[in-house]
Amino acid sequence: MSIDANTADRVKELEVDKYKYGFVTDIEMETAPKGLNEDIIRFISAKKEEPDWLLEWRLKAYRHWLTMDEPDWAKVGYDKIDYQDLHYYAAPKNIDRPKSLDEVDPELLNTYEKLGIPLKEQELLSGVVAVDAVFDSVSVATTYKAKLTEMGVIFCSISEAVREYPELVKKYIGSVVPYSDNYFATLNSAVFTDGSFVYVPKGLRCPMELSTYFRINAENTGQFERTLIIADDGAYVSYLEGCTAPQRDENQLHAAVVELVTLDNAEIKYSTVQNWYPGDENGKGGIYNFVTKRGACRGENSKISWTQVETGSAVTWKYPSCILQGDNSIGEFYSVAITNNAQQADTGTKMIHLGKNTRSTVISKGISAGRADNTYRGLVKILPRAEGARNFTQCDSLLIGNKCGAHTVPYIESRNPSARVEHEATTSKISEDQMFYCMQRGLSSEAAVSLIVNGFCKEVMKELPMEFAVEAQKLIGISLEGSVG
Amino acid sequence: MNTSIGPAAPFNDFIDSASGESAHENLGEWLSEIKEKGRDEFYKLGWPSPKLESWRYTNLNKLAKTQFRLPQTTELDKLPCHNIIPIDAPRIVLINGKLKRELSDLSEIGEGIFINSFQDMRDEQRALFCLANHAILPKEGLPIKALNDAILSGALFIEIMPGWQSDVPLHIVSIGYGDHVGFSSKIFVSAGENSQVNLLETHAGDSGSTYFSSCVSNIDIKAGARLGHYKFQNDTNTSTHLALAQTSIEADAVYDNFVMSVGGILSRNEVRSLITAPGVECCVNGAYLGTSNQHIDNTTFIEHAAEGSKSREVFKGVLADHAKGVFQGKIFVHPEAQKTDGYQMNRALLLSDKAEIDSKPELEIYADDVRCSHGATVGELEEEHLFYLKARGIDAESARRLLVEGYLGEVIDEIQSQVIRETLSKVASDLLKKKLFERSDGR
Amino acid sequence: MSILSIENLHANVGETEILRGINLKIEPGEVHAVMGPNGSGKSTLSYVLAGRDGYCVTDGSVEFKDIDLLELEADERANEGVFLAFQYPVEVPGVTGMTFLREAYNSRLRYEGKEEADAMEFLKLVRSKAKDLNMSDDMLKRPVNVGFSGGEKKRNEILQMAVLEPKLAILDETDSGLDIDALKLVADGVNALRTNERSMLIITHYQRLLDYIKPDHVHVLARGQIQRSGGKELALELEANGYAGFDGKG
Repeated sequence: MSIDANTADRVKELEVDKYKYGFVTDIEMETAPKGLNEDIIRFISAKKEEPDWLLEWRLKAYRHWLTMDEPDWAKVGYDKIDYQDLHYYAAPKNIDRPKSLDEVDPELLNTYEKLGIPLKEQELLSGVVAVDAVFDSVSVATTYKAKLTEMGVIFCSISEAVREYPELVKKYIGSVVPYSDNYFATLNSAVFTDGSFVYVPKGLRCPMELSTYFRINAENTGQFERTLIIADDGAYVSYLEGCTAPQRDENQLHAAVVELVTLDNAEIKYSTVQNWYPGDENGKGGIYNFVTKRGACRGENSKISWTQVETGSAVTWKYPSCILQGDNSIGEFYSVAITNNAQQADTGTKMIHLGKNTRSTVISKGISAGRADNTYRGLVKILPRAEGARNFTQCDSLLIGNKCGAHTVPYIESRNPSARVEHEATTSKISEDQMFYCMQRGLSSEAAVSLIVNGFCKEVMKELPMEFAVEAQKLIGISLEGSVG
Repeated sequence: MNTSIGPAAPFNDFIDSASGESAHENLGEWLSEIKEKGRDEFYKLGWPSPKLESWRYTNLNKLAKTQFRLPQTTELDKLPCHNIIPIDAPRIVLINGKLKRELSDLSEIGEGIFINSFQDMRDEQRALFCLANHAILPKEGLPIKALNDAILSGALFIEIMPGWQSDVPLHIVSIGYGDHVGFSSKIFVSAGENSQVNLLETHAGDSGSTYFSSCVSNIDIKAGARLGHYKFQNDTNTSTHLALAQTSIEADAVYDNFVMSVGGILSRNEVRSLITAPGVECCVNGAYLGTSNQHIDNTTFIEHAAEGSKSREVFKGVLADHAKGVFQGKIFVHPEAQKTDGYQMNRALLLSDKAEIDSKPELEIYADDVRCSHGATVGELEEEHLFYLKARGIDAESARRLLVEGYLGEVIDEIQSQVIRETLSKVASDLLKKKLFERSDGR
Repeated sequence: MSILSIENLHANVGETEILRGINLKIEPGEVHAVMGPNGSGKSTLSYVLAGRDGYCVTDGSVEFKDIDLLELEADERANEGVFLAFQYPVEVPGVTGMTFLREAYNSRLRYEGKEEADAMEFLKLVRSKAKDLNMSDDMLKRPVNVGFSGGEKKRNEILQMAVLEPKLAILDETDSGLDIDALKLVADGVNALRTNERSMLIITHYQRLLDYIKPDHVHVLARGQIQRSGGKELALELEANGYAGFDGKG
């Protein structure tokens, strides 16, 4: 099924309520007391039965965090976060370590079912996607584990990886995003609770898409997951990430860290459909999505590709990046960011070219409606050794209505004459001609907007794995509801 | 706001002495007040450091640590003609920031332009110093303006009468002269309704001089006027030049700005244009050529505050040796500025593996019915082009020179005044020969 | 019952009155040509009928079948069966012709309370329609009208018309920008879509289109009003004498 073939389904979906993931799961939780201090960090670490080195690392991060200031350079505004008024750990009771899916609380399975992520293996899309489900602070289930283990793929929660594969974790954690990297990443390093861990062994093309589904449920809880993916020599993996949260009036903080490492000839494809609760029309509530994602192409001829569709969250601050160390390595960033109502997004990428003949491509599509602000911020940096490096960047903005803003802030720094960097950007609106043409053929104005916007985003959407593309197309329509009068 | 360099920096001593300089030329207290206000403002802002967004790529640390002094003299027998634009036109000469009548020649200027200086300015011209600017200020303030005020040496007031149209350009020549002297000047331009004039600035130094110079222009372009504003920045290779041109443009007016930057160890040309009414055409273009360890910064800000105006911005640079180029361009479109047509292009050519370019072409847009685009490219000469020329029998050296000349020629072609386009084109061609292609190192 | 009944239609664009009392009746299966000099209000008439924003009806009425057409939004008019073949078909980047057309087709089905067509079913339908018109459906794989030649754009309009099966097709200067071969192709397409039920309103400046699409009635529009009506022969008369007698200047 192609993307095109699904547009009709999408239009049907336009009728659904605005944020259908806004429900709350009623489940007995174990929660750490509010506040952030060394004891809380020790509590989290003890809860996870972590080795000393990790606790020390967390404490080091925490102490460093205390010396840092919250960044204010992004084009976003939000009320000051009271870091002492949050819970840093919340987990459903009695699910600490379910051995198999049968042991998982049925209420949780039910929740993921409602989110469209059935955790029963036989119901998953003909066995091509393995899912790690993260509920607030803990991973509640991972499917297809046995099958993956057989092939040598490690796919589990990061807590489990710390226990089962401490050497691997120790070697790579913080190696791409050091604990001192930035305010939110440092906070995450101190208090991260769960997330996914993937290791794909030498020479293996992982035949399944691996997927993590993040769900914030508990109130006043920050979600700090940490994901680490390593593709060894010649390995390939495609990883999908989805996120939702209940509809709440308060803002909730999500400060995740994702680290990717590719060795020689390896490839990681990382796709995100971010649909955290965006807040209501008036900007009340919604998730603060302050995320650090970075990949290191350590090996020669390796490749990291980020694709993101960002439709949710009240505030997004996120720059999935690639450090192109290995010669001939490739970095890609494909992004659709939609902001409506009072949403704000400041997102983009960094492509750091270190190795020879490294190549990067950046395609960013920003759509702004309502009173929203949408900023592309990207850095392309060519270092002296990056002989023959190439970058192509294209960022297009679409404005719907005249109360919103679209901004493009590219930074281009080149120190090698043989490198070639190209940047193009345009800003446009949906023309009256296009709207009238579509409506003359019978499309409603909302369907016309959705169609035109999907066309505008096409270069990015085609990078998404099929299962995600369908969902993402629907989301685009839904998130722009009410944007045309 | 940001003071990584404490007030103990040597340059600050100079600021203190310049701002505290007692009233001179019988100008009374008001000039001292301006200087003191400028000094206080500058100290409040602090020396701009790379931590500030609009100074991210230009570091003034070295400048702050250099000791300058007030010029002892403005006596200079003759102009260093080989450093200034070779054009036969009425000229005003400033030596170390002060008007030098003996070297100036305004006999051909015509009756539609009035020029005053500190000595003979009128009360309302004095009031211009206090005018508030309504344009958006960068978060970091405008340190160049504050610094310029603090050490102010001289000012020019150029008033173009409504309807006055002239083909003869007015050449303002600012010469730095001395060893470690510091000076600043201000140029106020008021272009009356439907007037048409071209201004040309040369900023250069007497051979062997080392100086710090700052120039701030405040330009007011009335409805229907057309002002060409062209600048050749060719300071000596040990000197520092910090300039700011602030322009406010009214309905149906045309502003054609071009800066050619080739001199100084460090230079920054900041151009800030405010479009206040419909029908405006605002062009802010530039070319730069950096060799040895020069640092050349072009920073622009074009603000569309009214609907139906057009802005165009093309910058091209050539960087060799250890030179570093900086381009920061921003188009800001207010919500009411519908139907804005904005275009911005920055290209840089790196000719050496030690050269560096930092480019930040930025759009900030709050109106939906606009056409704004920008682009940037960085790279070296195309092998294919070089080969083509060589295949036609042109030697490698000449082929490179031709290609670089053509490369800069494209942006010089943006200049609307034919006389000045041709003059600067010749200047660029000579400079390329002198600075890039006929040097003893045989490059 | 007439398909279209226009009575005393007045319309403004901005402050300017362009249509100044148009009267026109079209019966099922009839082909009417409206001819007129530049600036006579031809395109305005087609936009007013299709419901484009910015065209303000100040007086008069338009009945389509038995409904008040002016009450409906543009998409509702389309779904009722009004099809406008644009003089300048609009480019829609990134959206393939197939997607666009299926969306339109299913909108109609939904409007009529019917089941939507699935992708395969629809593909079959489009292929057969294209075949009937001697066209290839290749252009539907490309984004709508993007990079199309003038002829391709117009043929694309006709193919859309074939798929959407309107009750009233309005062809706005369909001949503009076409050479004679392209014109023939497009005219063949239009003729293939003529039925006893389907009415057409052909808006044109030149008579030459009417050599290929034979109208039942010809009207001369000038200064915002229909100045004269007649049969095919009126078109030939205009061809011979021009609009001199109608444009108010002659």
